[in-house]
Amino acid sequence: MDRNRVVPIVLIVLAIAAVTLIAIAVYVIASS
Amino acid sequence: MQELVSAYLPLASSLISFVFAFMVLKKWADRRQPFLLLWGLGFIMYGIGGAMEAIYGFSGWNSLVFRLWYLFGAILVAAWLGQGTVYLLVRRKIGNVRLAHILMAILAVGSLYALFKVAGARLDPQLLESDQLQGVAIVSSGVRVLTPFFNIYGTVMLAGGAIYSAYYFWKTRSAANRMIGNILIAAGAMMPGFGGALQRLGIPSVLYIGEFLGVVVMFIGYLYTSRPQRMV
Repeated sequence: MDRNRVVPIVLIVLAIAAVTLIAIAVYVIASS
Repeated sequence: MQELVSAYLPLASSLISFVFAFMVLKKWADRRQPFLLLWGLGFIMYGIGGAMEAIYGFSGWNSLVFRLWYLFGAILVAAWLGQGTVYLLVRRKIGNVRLAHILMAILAVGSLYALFKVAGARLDPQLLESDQLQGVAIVSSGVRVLTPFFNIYGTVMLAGGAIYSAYYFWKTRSAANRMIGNILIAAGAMMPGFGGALQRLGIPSVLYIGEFLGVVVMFIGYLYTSRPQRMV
């Protein structure tokens, strides 16, 4: 496993997850 | 089997959180770094949230248990943990005052407001859809809407800060253990958030599982970051 390739992919996945979570929270605020 | 998820699982989350908090606060007592104090307080809140879930799972409805759960477990925990990361990473000053102190003051005022709102909220346990605690039991308006504001702040600071730190340690090749630790902290920090989101979408049991996995993964991540450093 090449860590130099895996780490950026993992970080991008985590960043997408964080943005998704924030988007859900914004949606909850907007729809309440 | 039902009790396993609704009572024993949050009990386990709570115990792990308190052990985690004890370790972090012990370190804070030695080093006096504000981020350790904030993280310690945050994990006490995490532990209180889990303990209230377990009490509800074992012995049923109690309005004080619900209010403590909602205040600490749903509203405050992520934001206070995130505030710890702010103290760790944000060095900027506005005038002579650290930006971290300004954000801390805003969080403290917001937390007092949340305490006031949750303490005075009208509750209806009949609205609970499962044997697990859910925000739907709050009847009063203007309470549940607070939660996403605090959780957005918590996610941006705690998960965002950990992702940033992991990237920094990867790019500089300075500390592999801290890079891995921060990846785990970021992943763990978001698990309760996704659990809460799925609970709102009608899958209640995922919240308790997300909280349990979240604290375990963050704890492992924290232990990784605390290990003696070695080069990549």
